This record gives sequence, C-alpha cells and structure tokens, in this order.
Amino acid sequence: MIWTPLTTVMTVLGIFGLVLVIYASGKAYTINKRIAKAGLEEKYLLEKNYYLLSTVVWVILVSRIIAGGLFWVTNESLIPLIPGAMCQFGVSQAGSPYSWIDTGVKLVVIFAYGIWLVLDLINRRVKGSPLLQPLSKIFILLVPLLLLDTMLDLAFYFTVSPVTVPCCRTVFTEASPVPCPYCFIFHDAPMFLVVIISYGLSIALVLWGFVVRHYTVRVKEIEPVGNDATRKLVTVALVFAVIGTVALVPAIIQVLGGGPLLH
Amino acid sequence: MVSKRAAAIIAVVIAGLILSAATVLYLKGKQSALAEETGISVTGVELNRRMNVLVGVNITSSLDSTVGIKSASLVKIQSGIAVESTEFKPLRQVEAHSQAYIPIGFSLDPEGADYFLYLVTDRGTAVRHRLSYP
Repeated sequence: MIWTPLTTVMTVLGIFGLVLVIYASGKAYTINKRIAKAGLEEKYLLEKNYYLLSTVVWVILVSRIIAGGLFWVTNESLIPLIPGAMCQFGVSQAGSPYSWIDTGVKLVVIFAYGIWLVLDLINRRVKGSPLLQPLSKIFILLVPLLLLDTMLDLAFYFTVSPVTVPCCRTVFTEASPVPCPYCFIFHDAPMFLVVIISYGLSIALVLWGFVVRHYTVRVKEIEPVGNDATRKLVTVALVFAVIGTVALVPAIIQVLGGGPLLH
Repeated sequence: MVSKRAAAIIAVVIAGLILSAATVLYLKGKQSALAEETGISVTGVELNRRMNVLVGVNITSSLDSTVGIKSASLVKIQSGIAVESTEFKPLRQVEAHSQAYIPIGFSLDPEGADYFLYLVTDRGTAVRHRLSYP
C-alpha cells in the first residue's frame, strides 16, 4: 500500500462504508420483512426505525458518491509514485485486477445510488411514508453493489504498490484506433472532463426521473410530489445536457487547435 | 412532455458523443493524410531533461533545392492530440544538401510519453520524427 493523505481518506471511507452497510442492511431487512404484516403500533415503530435507517443510508450513499469522485483524484495523485506510470492506466496496472473492476463499478454507482436518494427525498415530502417498503427493498438490492464498491476500494488501495509497471505506451501506440482515455481526458483534453461529467449527470437525472415516474404510477399517494420531482429532474437534466454541449465546443477546439496542418 | 424532453436530452448526448468521436477520427485522418517529406530527416534531438523540454532538432536535407520549415507540432501518440505547436516567422530555411538546427522549445510530459514531431515545409509536406521521452 502507498500511504498518502488521499489513499488514507479512501481507506477510511471504505472501512466506514463497509461498517455502516453491514449495520444498515440488517435494519432494512427487518423493516422490509415486518412492514407488510405490521399493525398500526408496530408500523409506527418501524417508521421511526426507518428514519434512523434513512439517515444512515444517506451518510453511506453520499460518502460513496464522494469516494467515487475522490477515486479519480487519488489515482491521478499516485502517478508520480509508481515507476513507469504516466497516467491512471499505469496506476490501474499496479493495482490490477481490483483497480479495473473498481473503475467499472465507479462508473455506474452514481446511477444506482441516486435512485434511492431521490425516492427517499420524495418519501420525506409525503405524509405516511408510502415508499418505506420499496426503499427498504431497493436498499437491500443495493447492498451487494455497496459491498463490492467498498471492498474493491480497500482491495485496490491495499494492493497498489510502487512497482515498475508498463503504462499505456504498450497498449496505445500509433496503430491504435482509439487514444488512451486517461491521457486524453485527464492530461491533454481536460475540457472533455466537463463534457463527460455533465452528460453523465444528465443521463443519471433522466434515469432517476423514469424511476420516479414508475413509482408515481404505482403509488398514488406520491403522485403530486412525484410528478413535480420528475419535471424538476428532467429540467435539471436538460440544463446539464446544455452545459455538456456548450463545453463540447471549447473541448473540440482544444483538440483541434495546434494540429500539424493548421499552420 | 417529460418523455419528449428526456428523448431530446438523450439525442443531444448521443449527438455530442458522435461529434467527439468524429473529431478524434478527423484528427487521426488529418495526421495520416500529411504527405511525408522523405528528403529531410531529423538526425539529432536536443533535450533538456531537467526542465522536460524539447529544445531543438538537427535536420539533414538531401533535397536539391532550399526548403522552408513553416511550423512544428508535437503530437502525443497516446492521446492523439497536438500538445504543442509553433509557427516559424520568418521560415527556417534549410539549404540543399545541408544540415540545419531548428529551435523548438516544446514542453514534454515529465511522466513520459511517445510523440510524433511534425515539421511542416513550405512544399506542403511534413517531416515526421518519432520521439520517446524520457
């Protein structure tokens, strides 16, 4: 393991996430199991328990989303510490195979975690917590992903060491049809980072909007709040799509600028 | 209304992705479409390893006439992007059957990378030299 302030933060977030997921998954399982048959009094108790669970899940998911962003920053900071690494490809080589799986997981987690957070926000705005059971169920479904996400972080940062690695030079040569994504986005065309983040958030917001609409149709109590949330989500998604497209112009100019034929 | 908006967003994102891919392909095509100058070759490279700078290059011409070097570009092979470029005003003249030194002054990635150095001539051709750093 290479101990730096960022790898330490990632390790702490990993352990913290792992402990909270184990604690929260038990509570979510109990609520999900009992809520359907619960009487009024037990339902009230389960609702109270749910509010505690909801707070814990918010902490878990927000900390995982922060870890998702920090993952790229941490990997970038490790480049000078790994001999032979010239971009994050080299860092991933040093932490292989966990790094590659972790990278894939990090690209999809925000889509999944956001679904729960958006539905919980709606649930809090409606009397009687009508989404209590679906939220507990979704959280239980998220547990394997959360465990994978946290354990891969821990496995990767405990594995990565300052060994000499072959970097992207061995894979991305002049004959390659595509450039090295890490060199392209993080080093030479950073404006594309704004494009990717904006487009990613836009797609995520549309996806969350569809999920909210799905539940709005199924659970009548949340209809006004759900419809309003869907409209807001899609509007914000549109804003991010526009930001991404606007950022695409300087990004393309940055890539085209200085080409050998321009002079 | 919401579905239409969502479809519009997805269309915008897909258009953006296609545009980005087209840019990369266009850039690659443009670089490979450059007619290579075979009469001039880079025979030496001066590097400042402390500052990570390509200071200049020595070139040898086997052409029968004088040629002017219009510009220089440094394309990073791993990203396919021209990371540095400069235009020479006035042109750097290279006499027939002679050697010349072209000052460049391009920054190189301290972590290391492979590059193509392009020297574009006033004949519309380009001298291409592969450079690995460090």
